[in-house]
Amino acid sequence: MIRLLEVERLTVRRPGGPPLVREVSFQIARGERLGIVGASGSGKSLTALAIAGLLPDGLIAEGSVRLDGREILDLPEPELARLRGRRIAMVFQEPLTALDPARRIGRQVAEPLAIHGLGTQRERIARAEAMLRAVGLPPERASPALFPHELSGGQRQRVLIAAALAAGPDLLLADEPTTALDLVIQRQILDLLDELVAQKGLALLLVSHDEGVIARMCRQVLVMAGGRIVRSGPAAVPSASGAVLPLQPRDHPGPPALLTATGVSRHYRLPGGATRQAVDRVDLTIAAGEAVGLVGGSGSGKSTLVRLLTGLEPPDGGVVRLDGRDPAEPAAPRHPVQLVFQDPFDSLDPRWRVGRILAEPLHGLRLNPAERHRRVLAALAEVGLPAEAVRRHPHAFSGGQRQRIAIARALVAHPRLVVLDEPLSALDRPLQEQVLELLAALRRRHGLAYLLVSHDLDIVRRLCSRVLVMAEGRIVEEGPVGRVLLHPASAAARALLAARLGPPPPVAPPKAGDYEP
Amino acid sequence: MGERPDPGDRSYRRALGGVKPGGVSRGVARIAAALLTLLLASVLVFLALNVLPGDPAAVMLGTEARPDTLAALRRQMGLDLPMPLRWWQWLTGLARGELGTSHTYGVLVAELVATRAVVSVPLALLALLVAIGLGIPAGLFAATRHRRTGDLATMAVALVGLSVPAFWIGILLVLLFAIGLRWLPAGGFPGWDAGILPGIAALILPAVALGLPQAAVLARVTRTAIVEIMRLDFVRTARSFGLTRTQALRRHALPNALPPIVTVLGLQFSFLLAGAVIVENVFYLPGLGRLVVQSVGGRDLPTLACLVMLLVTAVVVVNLAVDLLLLRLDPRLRQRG
Amino acid sequence: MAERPDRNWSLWLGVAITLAIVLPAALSLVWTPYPPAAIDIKARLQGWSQAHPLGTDPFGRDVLSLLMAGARNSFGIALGAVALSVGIGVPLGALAAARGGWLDNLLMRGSDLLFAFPAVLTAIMLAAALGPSMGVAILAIGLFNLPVFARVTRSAAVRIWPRAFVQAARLSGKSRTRITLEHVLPNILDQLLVQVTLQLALAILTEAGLGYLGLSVPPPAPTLGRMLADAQSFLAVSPRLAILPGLAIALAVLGLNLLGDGLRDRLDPRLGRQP
Repeated sequence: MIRLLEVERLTVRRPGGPPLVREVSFQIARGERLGIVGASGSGKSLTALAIAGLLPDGLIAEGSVRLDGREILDLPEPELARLRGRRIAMVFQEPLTALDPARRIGRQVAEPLAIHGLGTQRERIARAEAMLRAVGLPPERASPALFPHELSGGQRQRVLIAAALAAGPDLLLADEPTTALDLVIQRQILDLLDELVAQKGLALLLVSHDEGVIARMCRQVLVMAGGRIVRSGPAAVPSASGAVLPLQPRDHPGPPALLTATGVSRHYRLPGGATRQAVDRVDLTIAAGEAVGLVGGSGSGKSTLVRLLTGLEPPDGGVVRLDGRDPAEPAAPRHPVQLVFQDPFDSLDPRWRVGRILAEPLHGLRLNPAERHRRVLAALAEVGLPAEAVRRHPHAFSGGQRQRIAIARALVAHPRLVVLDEPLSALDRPLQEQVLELLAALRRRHGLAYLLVSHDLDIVRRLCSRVLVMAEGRIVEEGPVGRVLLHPASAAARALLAARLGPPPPVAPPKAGDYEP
Repeated sequence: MGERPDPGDRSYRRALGGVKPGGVSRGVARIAAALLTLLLASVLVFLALNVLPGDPAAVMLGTEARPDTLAALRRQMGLDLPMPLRWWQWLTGLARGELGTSHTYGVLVAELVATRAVVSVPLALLALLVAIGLGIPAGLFAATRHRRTGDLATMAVALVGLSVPAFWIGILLVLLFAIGLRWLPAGGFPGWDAGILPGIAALILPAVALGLPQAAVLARVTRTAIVEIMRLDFVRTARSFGLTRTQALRRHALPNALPPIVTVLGLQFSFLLAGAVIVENVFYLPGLGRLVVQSVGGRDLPTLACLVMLLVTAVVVVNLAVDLLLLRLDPRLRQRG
Repeated sequence: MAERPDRNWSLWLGVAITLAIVLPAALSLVWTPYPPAAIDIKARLQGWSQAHPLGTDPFGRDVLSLLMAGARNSFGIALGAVALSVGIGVPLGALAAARGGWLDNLLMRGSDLLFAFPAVLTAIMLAAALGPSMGVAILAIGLFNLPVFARVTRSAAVRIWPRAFVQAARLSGKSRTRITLEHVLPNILDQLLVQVTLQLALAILTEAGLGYLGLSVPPPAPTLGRMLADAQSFLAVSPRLAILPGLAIALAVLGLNLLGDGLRDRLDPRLGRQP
């Protein structure tokens, strides 16, 4: 039987160079869904691009790709173009830049129809509007006359999906369609894709690094590494791991409060003239040695709140006190609170050597050079990096190592509170594990307090005893992490939980020694 | 798949009904800024040409003049008034079109400007024609041959083209076409009364000399803009809808490449102006540029002041026009600050 | 993106060509084959000869010596002008990026104002008021190019400030000035270097124009621009006199442009955050 798509020994390489995709073969029948999962560099995206004939400049494809029995790999560009949009559609990763900024979205959705000469002008406009409605963007929500920059990332991805499906293709190639989006939006887009693909009986090739995403959408999966298929079989949901968590913290007199925020607010003036309340009358307390999580979707105000709590910006209203002092004050001591940033590639000055980077938080502390050096070396040792790292530049280290350097920098000044802003989201899963273990160990060893900001509830439950849920600038829920995760009261917490693609966390009664002060 | 114009955009625009308010207020802000710039510029010009040289009356009459003659002249020229008032009078006079009288020629500056402008303006326009007509297609060509021989060769030529002084190109052209081949005049201007063709013939070499370096700059900018855009995701999206690479270039890349090209054109205008001043002198063309230089030689400061203001105004107006055009071309600018 | 070896030759070619002009120009500070101002009427308007490898001008002066000294003056003025632009423009731009707000607006207005005065016009005004001189040329060119450095510095710095490592520095309590000096400027140095090269090229080009109009260093100091102006009267007789100075200018400018382009392309893959 001739399948819709047959890929046989597909190889992608730079002319004269090593293959980036090696002899990949698979088939997809009409209406069937296949996932390709792998780490970055495994060749999964190139496979999809090669099928669509959209490889980047300089790469060539060899082998055979057949659509309904017809060889398409070596077709000349005009022929290939006739297939794209009409038979094969593609959805890409970066919705923010994938739309022409100078054209209105209605017109862009209708473009595949115009290109292939389908329908009259009027029919095309009608179909575009119908497609927009189908992806959840009815005219009241998003007029077809809008320009892309007037829409959010999630909305732009919907527009792209509408456009991809407008001309009624048979095969949809989706390359990391949700990776660039917020966790909650990711879930919505995946649900949308699921519905549309089922409705129209499309064949789907879904490429992602996230096994959970694949498992949600596809029955069969191919695992790629180093350009080759290393495993194929039914898709499986990733298993949860890590410590069990108690339903409630132990009952004992609370340790003294280290950081308090009372009625803290911050607003921004938008270019249009409107104001946006980024943080709205937030109260929070962190006790010495306590690990607190702060979760929320993007746009909930977490990052702004972090800046207010660490003193990077002063609040418009309310009061922040760290050890009794206002951290935004110029004369306040800086060292008690430290911040570990999200992006290890951005948080270290590429021109500085690691030794100098690590010593920077000690600015303002009156220490002699010998003592500074000693502390730098001690911090490096704590995160498991060799002493000779001080002489090197950040670009000599991998992402995981750089994040360790960032953590070491946070330790150097002997802080009492470490704020961690999405510390793991830029790392691959195995690295996440290692860094998570490191963070837990450091906390136990030094009795640090943590404020862990994340959209990922799994990480929060592994490190924190208490969690605050933030949405639209307010704290909408607060409580022990076990309770909030199992019985979320707020809509925001429920949405975050629903967006997770793994199984719910295991829960057990508290054991002695689970959480030390 | 014909290249039919797609009127789809108009139907959506009709639905919206007109220009968005954000665009209008931005435009007004730009105009106000331009006026402010002109005001400040006039102060600078006034200071430079009426204050720096010292007493204009002494400048005109020389150091041997008798004190009472000096005083009389000062009163006549209105020099005994306070400085800000003199500036204001001068500025309002300019705005009304009263440009004063030239000391060197004894005629109204306004008349001088009019007679000279009929040479300079066509020259500038011709040069622009050369620049755009050569530069943009060359840049497009290079972009389509990206990284291949055509691209590298065009860019190499462009680099040489913009490294060469315009007036030297003029001299070389005279050497080749006027002295060597005797096809075109070596300089001078017969006046438009002698006919359109002789007039244009006299302007060809200067226009080419002026326009070539600009063409080179435009070629580079166009190529870079298009190559950058081709790399962007939305061109790949367009291809995924069913366009070939060339079609995607024409329909999506070019309109999005216009903003940087238009911006550079605006920026280059002041260089064009400066080049025109020099080139007119190379070819002995009786234009505004020549007048400027003659005024310097003759220490005719009032005329010079008016001319400089005129040219500065031209630069500011052109940049304003570019800004307003950009507001129309790039929807993103309409809302953000 | 892989290394682009075709761009490295741009850099080195640029260096080679620039040096070909800079070295003789620098040499002229201590030695020229003949004193540039040495008039020798008997030897006027000669072509290539052993005594005068590049010939003589209408006054019998040695063209090679004139070129060397002229190039020296051109470079000197260009360097002076760029130093002026950088010395004022970069701190202004850095300040505007660090403070923002009304200072930023002031900077934009100021640079609009300066942009409205092409160097030639400013030079003309100043020369008319004060008489032509080296100082006038440096001031005119420097002022016109000032906004370029202010703007480039500002826009580059503005992209550095939100980066996480700057936030980390702010957390450590360092002042904005310190952060500008320690973090921001070092990270934009590359881009500034490219601009310096390109602006030097532009300055030489502009100075040539000014020299042609007689608005640069006054005689008897030689300038390449004025040599061209003088040569125009003798175009039919001695085209060599019009070709050589222009060639010198073109080569200097071309060399610097190649250098700047090569630098810019070297930086391009590294302008992002990862190597």
